[in-house]
Amino acid sequence: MLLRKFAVVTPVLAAAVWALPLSSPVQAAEAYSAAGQVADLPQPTVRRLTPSQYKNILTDITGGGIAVEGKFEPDVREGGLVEVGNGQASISTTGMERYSAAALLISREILDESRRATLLPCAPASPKHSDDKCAREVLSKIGKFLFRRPLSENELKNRVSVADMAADKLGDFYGGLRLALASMLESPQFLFRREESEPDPNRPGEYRLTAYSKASRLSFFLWDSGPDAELLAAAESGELHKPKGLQNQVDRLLASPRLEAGIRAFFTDIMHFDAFEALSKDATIYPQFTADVVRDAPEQTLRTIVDHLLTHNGDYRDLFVTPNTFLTPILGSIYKVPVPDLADNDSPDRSWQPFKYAENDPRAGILSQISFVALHSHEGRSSPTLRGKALRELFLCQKVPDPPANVDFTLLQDTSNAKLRTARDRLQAHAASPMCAGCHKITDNIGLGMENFDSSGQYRTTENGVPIQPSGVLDGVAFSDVPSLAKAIRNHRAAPSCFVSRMHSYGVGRASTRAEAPFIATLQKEFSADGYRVADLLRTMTLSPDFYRVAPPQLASAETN
Amino acid sequence: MIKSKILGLAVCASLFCGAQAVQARETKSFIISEFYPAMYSEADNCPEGLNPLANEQFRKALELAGRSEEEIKLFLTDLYKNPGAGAATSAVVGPMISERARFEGKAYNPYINPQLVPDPGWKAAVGRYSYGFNLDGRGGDDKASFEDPESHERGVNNQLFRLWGCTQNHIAKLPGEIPNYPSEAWEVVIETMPVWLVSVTGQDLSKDGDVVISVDRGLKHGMRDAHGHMRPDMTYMIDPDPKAHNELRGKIVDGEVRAEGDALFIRGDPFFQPEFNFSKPKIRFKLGHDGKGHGLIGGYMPWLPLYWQHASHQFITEQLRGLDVVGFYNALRRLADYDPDPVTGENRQMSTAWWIEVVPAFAIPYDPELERKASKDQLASTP
Repeated sequence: MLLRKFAVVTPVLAAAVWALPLSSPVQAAEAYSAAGQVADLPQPTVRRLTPSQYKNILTDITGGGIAVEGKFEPDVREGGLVEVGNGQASISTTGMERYSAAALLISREILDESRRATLLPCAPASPKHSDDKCAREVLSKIGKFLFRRPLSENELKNRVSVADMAADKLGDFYGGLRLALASMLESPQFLFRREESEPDPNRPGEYRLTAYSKASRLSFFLWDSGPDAELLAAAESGELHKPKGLQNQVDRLLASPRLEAGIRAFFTDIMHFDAFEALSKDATIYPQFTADVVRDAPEQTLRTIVDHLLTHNGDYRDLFVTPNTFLTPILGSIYKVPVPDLADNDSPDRSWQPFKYAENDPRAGILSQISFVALHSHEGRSSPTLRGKALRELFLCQKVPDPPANVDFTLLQDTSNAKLRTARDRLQAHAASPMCAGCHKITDNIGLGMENFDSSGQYRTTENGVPIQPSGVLDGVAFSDVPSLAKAIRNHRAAPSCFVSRMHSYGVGRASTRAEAPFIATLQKEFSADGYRVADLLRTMTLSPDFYRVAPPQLASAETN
Repeated sequence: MIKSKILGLAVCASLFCGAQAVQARETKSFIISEFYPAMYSEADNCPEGLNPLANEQFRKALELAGRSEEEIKLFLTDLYKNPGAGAATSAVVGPMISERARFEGKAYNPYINPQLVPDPGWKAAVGRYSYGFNLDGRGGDDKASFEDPESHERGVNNQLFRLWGCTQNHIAKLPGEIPNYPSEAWEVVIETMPVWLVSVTGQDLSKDGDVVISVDRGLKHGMRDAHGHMRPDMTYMIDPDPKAHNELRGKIVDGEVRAEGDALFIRGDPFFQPEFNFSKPKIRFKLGHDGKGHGLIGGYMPWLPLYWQHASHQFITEQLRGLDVVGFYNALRRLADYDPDPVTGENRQMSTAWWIEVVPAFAIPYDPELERKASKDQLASTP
């Protein structure tokens, strides 16, 4: 399925808005409003489920214990987010085969004898024959969670019919049910999050998401999973459209421990942790960078983030400087700090332990962690350019152009050059070319500030025997080492505004439109006023009608293949 | 000359290591990542050739069991053409070999009763050089002693080298050759055996001066890196069992750590050797630029655990390790050079030297509270 959407933006309006600095959305909104243009309202989205959302929904339905491994389709990243790219993603023929195979396996597990008593609302009159009534009950109950809304009578009727027919043919009620369940698991209604709109009675002439679409947006945003029974009930009753009803649900979702899954999914997306699936290092150079490190590195950062933002309700900006983290013994060996192995054989999770860096330790903050410095490096050497680019794009929302196709990287790649012994030397020689100088000015200055970390994330003070000189300037702020660079990023005005924009895009599943600039500006003001507390930001965002506002259907030109 | 350095010691920085006897200003800890007999093999070590593989002894046992020459040839060919996999042959030959001891006409297990089997003889190494320490203090006057090939210290006592120096699976191997048995056994055993920790404590470890060496056993086995070597900078809790703790005193001299003491006990592993119980132990190692250290541990040790290591696996030892256990038993008794039995006068201990490689690690005291707290914290924070 491919859905294409068209938005009409006049060139004048586009030029007026894009010329504004991204780090100043408040000014952007004001300027936009002053222009007096008609806002281009966003359209509802259709997003392919991410692998984690797919798994989480099944866990919610079954209570866990169902193995869903791997990916069905490669991720598509757009605007820095897979969650946005998934709005443009389709399913290939091969991918569909994988979904189908998984559907059959999962439906078998869901209907396994050991689960029937707890998962199924009824038992058939005979396990060897069809049972229309019981099949309807089962499919209706599970289908509601898979499609994130009640099944229409036609949808239900068709699947009950399949279940009955197959049951009679197989002589097995559950065998028939399995096929009907599998058909739902490979349905676009399950695999895609299709949002629908309706007229907004509180804003005549405007549109909003339907209650079920609203429930889904909320739930996937905050829990990285489909709506639970209570949220679906609030949608069904219409409570979700009432301010008090919405507030009750938002507060409930935010108070739930499942918020952690939502935060993890968001940071996994914005920090490109999906790239760890393909990350490797040259074992000759970095023998300590093993598969265990690849497994633990992103988890360290996610634990740091969850602990700081949720457990301690910390200032978002302090993520860049916090000395608090969690380590495993394997990560301890990279960071060269003592972390005893406390895990029992049957409880590997216990090997994670809280750890606080000493006051002057260069390791403070998430950007000094392996998940950043190793991910944004080459296989056999560090990369100030990749790190600088990632830092600007991921955390400051500044676009760095890709290098031209005909760049000669010889100087950069030769780490054994006797005259150019440090990355700084090699980059300076490389950037002497006018073709390269422009972009490298943007990236290298800050990337070189992280040269104390090699490609595997180990701290070093020299490269090829020459002392590393990590000083530089970040957008006018001088830094002398990694901690002062981290501080400069923490205090950069674009850091919190970028975070708000990314979170909004992530929540709505698309790039923010010009019409949403005032809303985002408000969010940024509130975020600042609330001391950059992420839970408060999430609450402000999800309680606002603007988060669910969409274009009237007639303005959305959609084409479905 | 074939020279094999079979080393292993490691250091880790920690303020928690033992050695309270010294005002601990600085401690570096290591795990022992390599450990096997220190062999310095030369072409003229074995003028009578190498010890034969066990097939000669097997032949005698089979003859004793009344097997024909044709059968014996078939058995032995199969055993050595296809070692370990000739299950059918092993099943036939094994019991005959394992019952080759005789007493009053009855068959007995030769591994438990090696004295009941005629000594087949054992070729011991001779030569000028061997790695090791001057343990008896007699220096070059001791005719049975060696000269260290690197330090040229004279009076080196290392009967373990003499014992193994002419045995095919124990002589030093060059890089690229199939490793000798002790190094293979070590690589297997460290997968599960709790690490051996070595901590050096002194006022300033970058300078020469007095140090205390703690040798402890950890509570967990070591982890490997992507090369299969022991991963540096891992953290290990120290086994709180007082028997697992040893202290030696010494100095750093020209950057080399040297220490000695009265006794050193390290619990091993049944597959390898159940324990290493050194008398008059000595240790020395020097750190390289990569943070690893290389050197020796030596001392006298009872020969019985050395025997046990091979005798405990009985027929399999002889077949796969290629040695005659009865000959080995008698050689141990002959070559033992320390601690005479007050009744028989027979020496009960043997001078030994073992190569060590050490890699940096963190050694911290066992803390049950830390374990409990970690458990609670992690249960609370697990999604």
